[in-house]
Amino acid sequence: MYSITDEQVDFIHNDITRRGVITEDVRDNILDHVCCIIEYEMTAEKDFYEFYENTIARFYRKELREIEDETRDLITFKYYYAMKRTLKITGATSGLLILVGSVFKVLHLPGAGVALVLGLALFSLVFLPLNAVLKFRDEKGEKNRLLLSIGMLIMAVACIGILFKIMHWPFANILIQGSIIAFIVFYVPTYFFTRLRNPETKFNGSINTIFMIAVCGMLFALTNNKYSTHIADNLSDVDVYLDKQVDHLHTENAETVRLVNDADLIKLHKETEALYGLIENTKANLIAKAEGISTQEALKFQGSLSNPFSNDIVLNHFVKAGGEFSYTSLSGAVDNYNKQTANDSIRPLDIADLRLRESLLSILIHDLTQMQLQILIEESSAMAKHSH
Amino acid sequence: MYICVMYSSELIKGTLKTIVLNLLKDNEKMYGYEITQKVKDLTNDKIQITEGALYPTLHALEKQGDVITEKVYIGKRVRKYYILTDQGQNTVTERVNELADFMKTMRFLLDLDSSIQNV
Repeated sequence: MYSITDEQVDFIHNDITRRGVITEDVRDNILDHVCCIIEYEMTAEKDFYEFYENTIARFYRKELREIEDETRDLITFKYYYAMKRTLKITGATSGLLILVGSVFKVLHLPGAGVALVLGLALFSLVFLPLNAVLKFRDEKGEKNRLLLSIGMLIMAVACIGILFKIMHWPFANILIQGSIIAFIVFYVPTYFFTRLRNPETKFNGSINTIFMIAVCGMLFALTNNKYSTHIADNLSDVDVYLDKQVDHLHTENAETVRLVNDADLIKLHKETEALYGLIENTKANLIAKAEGISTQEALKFQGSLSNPFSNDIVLNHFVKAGGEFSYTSLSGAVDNYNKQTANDSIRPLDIADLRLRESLLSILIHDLTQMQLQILIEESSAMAKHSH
Repeated sequence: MYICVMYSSELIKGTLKTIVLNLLKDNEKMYGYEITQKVKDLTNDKIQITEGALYPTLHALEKQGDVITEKVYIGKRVRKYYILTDQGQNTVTERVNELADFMKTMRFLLDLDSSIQNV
């Protein structure tokens, strides 16, 4: 029996590692096995290295790491069928839920949200990742595997984005547009060029690439779809008309007070003017912050806001803000107005009329203008009563 | 993955686990090289298990809980002895019975008894 030296054991250990067997258990097994063969079957006159090379060659067909791969495959094999079954079940369930959810949503029936959330979450968090794992295992060729799996994962992110969009949750656009950009920049070119190289896949690859680009383009255009310019302009016209009415009434009231010259009316006019001015400046402050212009420019601002649906501006510069043009300040001014005009049979203002829950910039500005209109109408009717 | 002097690999595929488990039933503990040698001896070199098939199977059996291992240090290397667990005892009985039944069916299906008589 040949006695193997420590140096020879080290040599075999390093050689096995170099050949790609890195799992300790598998490596220990192969090392001991090779050593056993050498000890039992090699005679002293034979060359160790030559004998080793011949021995190790018996362990594999192409390369030694086959043993490690085969071990990993055998261990994960029993999960394979479970994964495929889960894939089928989640695929069918999510497909059905998405279908039912979308039909319900179109028909405004209850349960649409629940069905869509469940369906799309199942689809993008279970079905697509599982599919990516299975494709990664089954697909031949390293590049194809990676490509398919990455494609699936990008699709999963896009689906989550679509779910967020449907549910009006934040960050939907970032998710959708981000995944579309990633898809167009990384996936599509890699797909196209790998298919192009192979004459068999060249034609279908090109057609599929065109499909992908077209669908991505359409989806991209859809994500940021808001009201048409036509509708937006009409909405803005409503505000412009309201502003004109308010301006007109404001000038008329001032003129009437000047003509009538009554002490009670002058006092009421002073209170109305104070609140009117504060609201006007509050509006100007919001527009200035939203459009990045000075308050002076904002006072003369005409036309539509560049982002009428912003709620950051409302929150940061009105609701949660302090100072002269904040909600707190306005609320105080309204209380003061109500107190000062309590004896004038004036309908009191209610600060709760501001629809702060939605807190969209254009709505807040609209409501503030309505407030101005109310106090001007009250002033006007007080004047009318007085003249009788 | 078998080097089989007499039998095609398709034929023995699926019986390796049974062979290994049954050997472990008869011997308290065995290591990889010992298993290959034992099979070789018992079958008069008709079945030679390759290392490439043996170790993945042993790892799978360990993962399934049919065998446990015991590490013994021999100089600078580690030898893993495989020992049958209680669960493995049941598995080996099931597997051997299944194989015996399968062989009986095959005998009948291929009409081996009469063909042997014919010879």
